[in-house]
Amino acid sequence: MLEIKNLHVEVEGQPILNGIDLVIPDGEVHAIMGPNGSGKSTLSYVIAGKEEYDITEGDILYNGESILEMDPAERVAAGLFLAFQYPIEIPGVATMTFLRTAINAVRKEREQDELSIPDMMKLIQGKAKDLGVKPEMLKRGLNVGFSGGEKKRMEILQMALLDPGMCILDETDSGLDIDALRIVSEGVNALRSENRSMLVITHYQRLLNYIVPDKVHVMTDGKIVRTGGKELALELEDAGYAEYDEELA
Amino acid sequence: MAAVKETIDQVKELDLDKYKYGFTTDIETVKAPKGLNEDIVKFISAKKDEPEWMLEWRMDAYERWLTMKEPEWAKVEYEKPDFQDLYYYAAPKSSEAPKSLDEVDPELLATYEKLGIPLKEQEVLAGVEGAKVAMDVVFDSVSVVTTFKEELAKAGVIFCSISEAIKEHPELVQKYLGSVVPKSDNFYATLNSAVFSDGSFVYIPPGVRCPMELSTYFRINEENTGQFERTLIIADKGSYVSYLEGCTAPMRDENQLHAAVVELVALDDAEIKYSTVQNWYPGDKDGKGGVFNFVTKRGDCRGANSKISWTQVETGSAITWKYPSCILRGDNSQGEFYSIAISNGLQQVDSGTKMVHLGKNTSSRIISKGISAGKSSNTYRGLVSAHKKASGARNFTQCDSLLIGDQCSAHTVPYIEAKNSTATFEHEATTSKISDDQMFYAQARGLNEEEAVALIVNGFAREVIQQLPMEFMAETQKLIGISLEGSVG
Amino acid sequence: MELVRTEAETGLISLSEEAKIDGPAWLKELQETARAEFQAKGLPNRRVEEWKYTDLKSAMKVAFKPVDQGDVTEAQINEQLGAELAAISTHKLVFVDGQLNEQLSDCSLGELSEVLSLKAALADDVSWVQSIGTVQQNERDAVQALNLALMQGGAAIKIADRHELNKPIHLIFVSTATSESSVASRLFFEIGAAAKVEIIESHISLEDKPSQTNLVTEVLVGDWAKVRHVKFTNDHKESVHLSNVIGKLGKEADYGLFQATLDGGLTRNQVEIRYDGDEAKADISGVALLSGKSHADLTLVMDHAALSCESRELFKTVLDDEGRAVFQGKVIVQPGAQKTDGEMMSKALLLSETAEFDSKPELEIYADDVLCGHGATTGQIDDDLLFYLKARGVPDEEARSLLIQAFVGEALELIENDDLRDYVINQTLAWYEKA
Repeated sequence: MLEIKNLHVEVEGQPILNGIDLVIPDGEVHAIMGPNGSGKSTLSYVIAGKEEYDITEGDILYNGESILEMDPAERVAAGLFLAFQYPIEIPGVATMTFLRTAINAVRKEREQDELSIPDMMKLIQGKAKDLGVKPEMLKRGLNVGFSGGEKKRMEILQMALLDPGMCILDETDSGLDIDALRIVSEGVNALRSENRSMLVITHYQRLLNYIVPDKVHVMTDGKIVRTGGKELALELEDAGYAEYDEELA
Repeated sequence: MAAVKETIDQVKELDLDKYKYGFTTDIETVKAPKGLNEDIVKFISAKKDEPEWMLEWRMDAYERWLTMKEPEWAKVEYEKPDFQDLYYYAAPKSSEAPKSLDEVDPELLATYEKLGIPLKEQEVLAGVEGAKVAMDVVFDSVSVVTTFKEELAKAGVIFCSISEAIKEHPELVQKYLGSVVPKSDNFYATLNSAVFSDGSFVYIPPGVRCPMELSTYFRINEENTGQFERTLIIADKGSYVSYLEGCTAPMRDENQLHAAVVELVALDDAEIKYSTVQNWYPGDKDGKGGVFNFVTKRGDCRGANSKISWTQVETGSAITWKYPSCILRGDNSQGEFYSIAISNGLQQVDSGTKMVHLGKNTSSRIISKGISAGKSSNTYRGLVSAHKKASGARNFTQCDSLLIGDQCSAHTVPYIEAKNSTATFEHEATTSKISDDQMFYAQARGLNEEEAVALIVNGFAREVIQQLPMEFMAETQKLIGISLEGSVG
Repeated sequence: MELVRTEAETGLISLSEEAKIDGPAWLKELQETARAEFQAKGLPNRRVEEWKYTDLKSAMKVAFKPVDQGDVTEAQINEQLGAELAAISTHKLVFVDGQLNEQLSDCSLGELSEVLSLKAALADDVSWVQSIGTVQQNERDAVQALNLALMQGGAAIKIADRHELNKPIHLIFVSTATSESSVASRLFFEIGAAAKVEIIESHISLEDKPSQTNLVTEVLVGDWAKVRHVKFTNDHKESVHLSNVIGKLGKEADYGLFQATLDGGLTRNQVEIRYDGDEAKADISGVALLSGKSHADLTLVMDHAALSCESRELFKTVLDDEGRAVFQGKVIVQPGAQKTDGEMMSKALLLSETAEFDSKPELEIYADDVLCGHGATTGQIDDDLLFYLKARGVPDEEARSLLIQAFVGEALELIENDDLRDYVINQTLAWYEKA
């Protein structure tokens, strides 16, 4: 269970998040929708532990424990996972090497045995096949030369491999055509389970046709201004965000 | 291919003798005797009625100069000037102390009209509605007039000739003169320190945004005369000023020497934007005559959060030796250098900048566009350095060269020194020619070859042109065309 | 003006007076000229533009003396090389304290190809070696002149036209000295038309004592010939290693030089490549990983004097502790060398506050129809990359190490020989672990 309590965040003295309260129980999928600049991506980075954000007030608890003092890698071991809006390219680090390093690092931290190379290969290749990630992609530099859809699929593959309890998907639909969106969504849906929750951040409603949320939150100006069921997304699709945002109104 | 070939041929046949500003003004002048010695230094100082401390400063510089050698590291070749065969002081006789525009010699006013420089305060630069530009006009060795002085004074801005500032504001001059470019900084700057005859002085008081563009217009008229002007601009805390500088000279068979020094000081939160359009006479097509432009320009971002931005359009001069630089001393200070250097005929340019990062979190940006045509040589020479304590220093440098014709050359000589591990420096340089595809495309849209070249070169230099104040933008675009066509336009 | 000589300069001048190598009159004359040049110039200092960032005059305190060829066994050499490198099947050419040791070497490169010790080649005035010392186009600098004056060992190697070597030549420079010593040697390669050769160069020391090496490699690359040369050094921290590779490329020649420098004392790898034939190409790349007080200087001149030639340079430098690196790369396009395509990139990663990196990438262009560019960056490990790795559960230290490997990896990829590339990668891995 993820609990965000009265979270206030600044970047270089500029307030970005102004008191977020959010609880995501195990097994639930929540969506956060909002206009550009409302602070959605900041929230995802803060949960993942990016450094340049100052948390001036509030707390984030995962399974009852504050994660604010944990470094990003420790949060992953604890079970948090962020799928990036813009996955980073790292030339020179082969994707396979990277995946192996990450899986074993997390297993070690979780006090699980490291996987042998054959077991590892079997695991990665199996999941890669499910997500339609081609074997050649695993040999290339991480995300280097990947298309937008391939990058997002790689994010979901990593999500599957690191076995998180709480997944945050930051604008996973951006830059995807309809086919890619379907493949990625199927991958995400396959990972839905009773003891895994998800936070889906998106600007558009269309992703939520594929990944159907239990709850939808509307965020503007660093605050959650409304919460409702999945029908709220459809309402936003028609009306836009104007009514929630003074500047847009 | 044929299209480009023809263009190249046209460029080769440049008629550089058609330099637009090449006329001379027939005006009575007062000159010091030829040559340089202690008496000449004393003569200049006396002529200006200077206080004792100023003469001492000059004499000290002169003595140091005697021990120095002309620098030889630049990629330029020329016959060194005979420093004893020059006049170090020449002034229009009539204008020794004009009180207002009405007292300025009509012959001089006509000269500036011909140059397209409006001196009458009610006038504005052609084509720009409502833009006011205050001008200090330097003719050979003296400032002949400074416009809009009263209006500026109301804002607390001091804008006058340096000679006047020495007399009227000695405390400011003594505090800042030589504090950015020390009097024995280099051979030419030291010579300037000894014999500088005039130039502009600007002081912007704390918190003041200078209400109009300030500008100096330099003109060398006399034969065998060196121009040694000295400009000092101080932007006090939280102030802002934009300053423009333009220059022309008549066509002379002899080389004329221009050895100026410009010092800028920006205190806390202050910003200075300094733009130059340099169009000194470049010499004729055989390389005869032309101005030797040996200039030392340096800005000191002395205060925290200060900013100095240099923009230069260099199209004239036979030889250009010029490196407008920034000392980024204040924490979070910023330096910028935007340059277009066009060389044609037998012109030689060796120009660039130094960004010296001393304070914490300082940043600098260098955009240099060199265009070589004819048989010219065009060199970018730059230094970016982060000192041990300059944590968080950042620089981005982009140096692009464009070659037109196979007789010219382009060189890039950057020095990049990171003595601090938190420095982030990025440097990129490219060399290319105008592609046949670009030429064809422009021509397929109805442009003739000359227009197409001018268009493409303007596009190549766009990032820099955009930095110029509005008043100079249109003029510069036209000047780029003219410099490359060699026609009078 | 009287030159003030340092102790090292005085020492080097007296060594050059003692140095004797048998040879014809032209050689004596050449050496005499070179000696006079060195006497006039002295050791280069920071006032010499090309040595601005490497002040050899102040760094080199004394001149070490050469030693006679010592005893060494093949087993000792293999031990020093390490199993991985020793296992690569090569024609080994072993230079013991500068002298070609024919017992330890495999000098049979094939019919019409030859390996001669420098001494023998000069003493016999072998005709194809007569252009020794003349491959260079630019004026000799003091270090190059000093090499001519001092040269005692080395070899002349000729690869016959169209001859494709079945395995690489491994140049092994081994020092047996039990105290400080110096070596001045010269290699002269004549690579025949359409020949193919791969060269590995390593420098090892049995006793791990400080040494001063002055090595000049002249390479004439014939038309259509292909050469790949990989050099690896990991010298003693008080050593001075001065290397010059001077190459001249024929028509459509394809030349590759990769230099990997790990630590060491003062290392200067200077490379001058002249493009003499049209459509020749060269790739001069490398990595330098420096910790402690190591200083490495890479100075490069790519001189294009022919049509449609290509130059590629990629250098990656990682600096830790008080490591200091210098990159100076100049691409010259001579008048008429149209259609030149030149790309040069130098990137440095600074890991410690006291590291220093100076670079000077230059272009000197006298022809218009060319595409030349260079880039130079200096920076730290990218925070965004680091966060991404950490957001996948990779701990900080491991993430940094991965990113450093990736950084140098881009250059290491350029080593074509798989075994050799693995060897160099493993050496760099060992360096990270130590650093």
